[in-house]
Amino acid sequence: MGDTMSNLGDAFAGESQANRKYLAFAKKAEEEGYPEVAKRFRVAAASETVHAHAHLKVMGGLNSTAENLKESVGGENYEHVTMYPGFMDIATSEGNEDAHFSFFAANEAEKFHEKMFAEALADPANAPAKTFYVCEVCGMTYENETPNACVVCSAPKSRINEVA
Amino acid sequence: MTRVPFAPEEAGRCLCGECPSKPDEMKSFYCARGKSTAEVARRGCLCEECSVQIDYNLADSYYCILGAPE
Repeated sequence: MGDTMSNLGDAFAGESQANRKYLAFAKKAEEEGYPEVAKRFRVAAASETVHAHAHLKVMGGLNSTAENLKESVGGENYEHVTMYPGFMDIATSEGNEDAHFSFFAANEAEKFHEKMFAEALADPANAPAKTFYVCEVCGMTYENETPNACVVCSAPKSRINEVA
Repeated sequence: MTRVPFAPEEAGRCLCGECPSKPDEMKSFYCARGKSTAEVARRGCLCEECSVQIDYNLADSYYCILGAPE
């Protein structure tokens, strides 16, 4: 166990991961016909989100919107320039096709995310009004219009949803 | 027959995402990306009506099982 700032970081990471994991568990429970179990996972996920946000705030991870955008541009850039390409190379060398495609799909979306944040960072108060969509299968992100099928995973247009 | 390029504009025309045989996985566009690593049950195939198949003169179907044509 480290000092409190280190523990806040660990707690934020753990609660964030639990939130995502519980939402995935809830989706699986719904698919398997257990709506009351799914509800419990969603409840815990919502609670973990509150915990994660509280830890992030206390550890000083919430700054001005301009600073948050700058951090996000850097994070997305790192992911698609360094992290995911390296992960894809390793997955290929290990013959893990599923992991490679999962990394590839994320990498394609991160490129868009960097541009999306960078555009807003240029002038946050006057970020152009756009409509954004996310593919619920692979996470690919689109602005203003969507293709007939996702350009990364070929999911049909009906599974590319607007995010307000 | 021409090898299907692994390109976004082609993936965006692929019908695999709506196919009744598609296994539950993120991967798709099998005529370009190769066969599925999952077990595929033959419940019908949309490749024969796909514009990618037509434009690249592909002759088979079930690329999710057969893999990308050479």
